[in-house]
Amino acid sequence: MTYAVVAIGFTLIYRVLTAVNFAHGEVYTIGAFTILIGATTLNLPLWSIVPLVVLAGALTGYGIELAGFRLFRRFTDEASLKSRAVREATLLSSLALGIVIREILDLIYKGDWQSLPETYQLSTSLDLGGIYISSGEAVIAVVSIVMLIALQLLLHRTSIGLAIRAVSSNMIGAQFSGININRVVIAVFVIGSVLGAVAGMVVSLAYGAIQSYMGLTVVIKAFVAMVIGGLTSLPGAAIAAVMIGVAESVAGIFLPSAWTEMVAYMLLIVFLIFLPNGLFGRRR
Amino acid sequence: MKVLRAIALAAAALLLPAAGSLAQKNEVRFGCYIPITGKFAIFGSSMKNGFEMAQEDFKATGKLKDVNVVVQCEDDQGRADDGINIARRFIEDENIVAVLGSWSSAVTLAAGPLYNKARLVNITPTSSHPDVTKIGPYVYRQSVIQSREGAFNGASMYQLGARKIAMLGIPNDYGKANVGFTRRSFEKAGGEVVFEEFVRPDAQDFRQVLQKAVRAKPDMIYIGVFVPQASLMLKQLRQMGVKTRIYLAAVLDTPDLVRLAGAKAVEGSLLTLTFNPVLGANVADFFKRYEAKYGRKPDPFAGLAYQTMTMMMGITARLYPNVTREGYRSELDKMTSIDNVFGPLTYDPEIREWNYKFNIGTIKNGQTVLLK
Repeated sequence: MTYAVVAIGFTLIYRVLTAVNFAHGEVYTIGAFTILIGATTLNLPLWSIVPLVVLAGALTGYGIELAGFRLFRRFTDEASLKSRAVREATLLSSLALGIVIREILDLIYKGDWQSLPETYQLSTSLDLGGIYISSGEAVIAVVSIVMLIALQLLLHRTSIGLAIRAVSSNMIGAQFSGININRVVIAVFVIGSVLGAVAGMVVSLAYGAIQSYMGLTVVIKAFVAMVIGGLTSLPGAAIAAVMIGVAESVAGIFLPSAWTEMVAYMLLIVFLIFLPNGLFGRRR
Repeated sequence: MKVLRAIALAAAALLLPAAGSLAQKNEVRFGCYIPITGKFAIFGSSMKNGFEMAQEDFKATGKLKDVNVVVQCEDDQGRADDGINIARRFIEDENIVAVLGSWSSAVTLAAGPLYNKARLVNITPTSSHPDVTKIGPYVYRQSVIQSREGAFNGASMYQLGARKIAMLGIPNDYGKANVGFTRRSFEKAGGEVVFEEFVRPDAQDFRQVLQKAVRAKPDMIYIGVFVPQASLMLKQLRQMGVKTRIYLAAVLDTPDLVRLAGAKAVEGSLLTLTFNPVLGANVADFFKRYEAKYGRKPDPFAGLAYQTMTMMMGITARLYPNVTREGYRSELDKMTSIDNVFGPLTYDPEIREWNYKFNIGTIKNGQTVLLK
């Protein structure tokens, strides 16, 4: 389910800008570090850290948009908006921003693994008929489902959601209709990054282990889910992410766990060969 | 032609004083390749602290007073290709007298052959894969060797009453050697390995593999992974309510285990000890001084780096002022014993390894207690 939340934030940004935000993994990491700082440095109760995580995610998303994307899309003519060079530049700039965030966290925490205080960890064991899960895992599932539903409501029941859908459908047309593109793009980064930061938070609460590199694997899996889901489809990304998670778990029963890492990539290869448009992708 | 000659002379005139100044500065420069950034940066940082403390302690003895000993650390990120690139640079740099590193066996195994071919001493403070010193006569090691630790681990588990064990490791050179030698020793003692699996080092959820291990009904679970994964495994085993006894590899004899897993999760775990304050005054004193200086307790990598650097400083003092690359090899071959933070150790010149003493410990209320 974690993959799903991260993949949706990732896909949302791609859907609007047709640009990959590789700094999205670091948003996930920042969500985890915010809860660490709230718990250890500020000694805040858990309920009061949650809004801080949302704020940190929103600010990080806004910062990434300003530093990594806005500069490359300052021209709003049709040629620039459709420019492949701009897309490639933003891919690299987001990658660079991700490295910068990671290295800053590494400098502060010296690359060391951090542990959340036990009182904050959701580690009660739940026995579901012989299958053990922790309360943290249950919270991951519930929070993920709630966030996915909330996102759907936001996209289909609010004016900003309508604007996001309009921009993702036809940016130039939306611009001519009077929609403020910059405002929509910022909203997309903020929403996507809040999803990523909250995902980082719940995973940290479930496992209690935090490190600057924790977002790296997740963002790669989110990218794979986005491609399998059909690049621009939010339900597609969510379903693909769940599919990857389930496939990894099932593979873990039959294969040595070190091999389960390849499951997502095997699925990706299979989809690229037999279903290149993904689960819900538009035919190109 | 005259112009070219004039340029050459001018360049030579500029370079000569520079070359002279190096000698005047009385500098001895060691190369060092360790992970400074990346996932393993914390281990490189421990090693760097160990080198630094050894240099300061050696200076305090009054030896090499006027000599500036420099450890030039380069970042290999725990990656073999970076280790090879750094090796090429160090070999070309005539100011480098010997090289320390790497942290990882995989990196040392990749870069070691280059140093050996170039006849530049490469001494690794931490790489424990048995093949490291087999690379050649210029590659040395200061750490525990996996074949010996594994022999101790396996025999200890059998001695502690385990007849069936489940083993968990990580799929790299260290992990495979650690699990492989432990398994061999346990089976030789008459035990049976009912489950063995190598886990993904970046994973956070180990419940599935732990359930598979528990289903095999072992008397004991052996964990031979690094601290971040081990702390998660121990927490998850506790959450699952598993009561099976746990035995941890020597690499987990570090205060970070209790810090990351919490005292409850590690309670009662058995482990191999080589570097722990309970083992003697030397190591206890090192822990105290290290914590005062760096604000955290040392891990075995800091201790091994300290021991290696102390030995290399001693050799430098013996060689000075005739410090040559070959001199280090010749002096290292003369080493027979060392008494440092790991206690008195003897050197086995036949297999070119140090004889470390292993002990069994257990964790009670977050503190390690010597069992034997």
